[in-house]
Amino acid sequence: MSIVVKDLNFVYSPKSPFEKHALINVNLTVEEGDFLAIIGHTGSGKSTFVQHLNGLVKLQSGTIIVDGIDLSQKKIDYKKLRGTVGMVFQYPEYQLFADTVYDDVAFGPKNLKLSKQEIDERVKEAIKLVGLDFDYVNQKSPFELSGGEKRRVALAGVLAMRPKILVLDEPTAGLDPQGKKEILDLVTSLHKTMTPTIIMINHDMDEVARYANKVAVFDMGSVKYLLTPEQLAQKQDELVKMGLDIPTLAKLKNYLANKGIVLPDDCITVEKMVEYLADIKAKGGANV
Amino acid sequence: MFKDIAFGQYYPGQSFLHKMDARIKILLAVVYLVCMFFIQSFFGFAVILVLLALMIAFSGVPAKSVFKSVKPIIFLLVFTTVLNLFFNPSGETLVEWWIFRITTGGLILSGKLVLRLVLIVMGASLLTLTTTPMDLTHGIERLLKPLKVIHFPVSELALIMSIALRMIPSLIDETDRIIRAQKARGADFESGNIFKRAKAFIPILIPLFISSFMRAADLANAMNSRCYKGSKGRTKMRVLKAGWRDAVGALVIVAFFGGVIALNFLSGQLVETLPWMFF
Repeated sequence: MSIVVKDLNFVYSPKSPFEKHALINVNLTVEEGDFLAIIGHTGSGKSTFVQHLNGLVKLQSGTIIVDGIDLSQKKIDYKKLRGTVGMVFQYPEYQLFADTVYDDVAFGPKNLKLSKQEIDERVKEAIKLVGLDFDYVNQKSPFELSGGEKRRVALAGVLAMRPKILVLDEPTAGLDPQGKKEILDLVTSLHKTMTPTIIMINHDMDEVARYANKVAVFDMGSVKYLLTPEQLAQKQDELVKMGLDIPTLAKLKNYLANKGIVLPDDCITVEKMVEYLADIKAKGGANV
Repeated sequence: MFKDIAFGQYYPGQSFLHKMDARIKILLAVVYLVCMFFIQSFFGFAVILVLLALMIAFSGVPAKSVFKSVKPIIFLLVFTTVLNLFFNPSGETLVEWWIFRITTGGLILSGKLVLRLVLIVMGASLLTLTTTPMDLTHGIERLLKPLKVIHFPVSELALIMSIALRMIPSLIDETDRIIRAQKARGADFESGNIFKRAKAFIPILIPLFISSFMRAADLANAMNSRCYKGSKGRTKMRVLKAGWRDAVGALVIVAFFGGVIALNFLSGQLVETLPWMFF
């Protein structure tokens, strides 16, 4: 098991007029190999939760075990933890600082006190992984690059630490549709090759349905539901009430069900839906 | 980590002092400041102490917050007290050791000095505790208006002040975010010698500078697109209004200080007081 969270509670500014319970009794298990999407309203505690995973937020009560590292212990090996859990913040391009792309990507591995050769190897690998041309970008200033390229460099900076668990906070925010697809495809290929476990905060339900295999719904500081993308369609009313949405295809599926065309649960991609609908048509059913 | 920093000193409330006009409060604070330099006798200080205690009670601000404002000048207090205590030769000698000599004159002088400084700072802090930074800016802008005659850019100055005030919380948030992002990449701000630690801040400062410049450019564009063209002809969204509270407040303060100064005159101590004004 990759991440086990038990009875996690977190309070901001405790015992002051600004006291705020950000997390209330959160229990969540993420298996190795999972692609977990976290959805939830602003202020539902999702960012606070993911920041617990690599020790950026100090544990107040409850237990978290990340890849064998117990975060409720007094002494935590933060270097190891941060090498294990890679964290890509929202708009990660705002964290770029170095003179060259190379130095920026090397920042993480350098902090892990790796050998020069190892750093060099990892930087090359990370830049290639995010789909940039190493020879072209490595001596450029990160600030000369385009927005999409900057985000890739920032992502490479995290990947160079070779995390086993990758946490992404809205990695597609502010990108055009093409850029979004590229980043998500990149994340998918990382999921297959390099980082076995992925946790992604995302507001786009279509992206969630397409890429994740588990969906945690956060509301008012706790995990309301832990669903598979297929189950999202069944929770339409509950999710809308929380100010969230369900995937477009799930909406279509529910709409069709109301009209008398009931599609199977696993109908969550355009391809599957077309297949099922063609099937129904071929059988000569559903003249709506 | 920066979440808990209360910005400025402002203590929210609905008291008499909170509701007073910022301009009047600033003016009264100036009157208070000037008068503090005229007061010479311990009796005078006692009167001011009572006045200050009354004002604090009226403001609804916890006395603790007012006392806290003295903290930054503790060093100054100690320093001046020591100088006055040991090197003032007037009066009778109480203790003498090597080049140090404590005299009654020195004792009284340093006592008065401490009282004066503490009362000034506490009085002034009452202004910032009961006035929002924005109101203070507006008040200052209004009071400096006469300087426009000599082409001093009063409104621009006020605008700069309000923008700066507005941006502080955003900058704090941004700093917090960048620190977390770099920590997530294994950055270490807590260990190593002073040079190492200073160097560790580069990955925070550079992104912070860049985003500040971008923010400034965005703000300039936003202002341009809403036709900002300098202060000429601009009106205020919040118009400061002086009311009965301000009249009452002004009367109380003026009466107090009128009395204090009259007392000083009567006892013929004003001449002695004058050097204080230049201290």
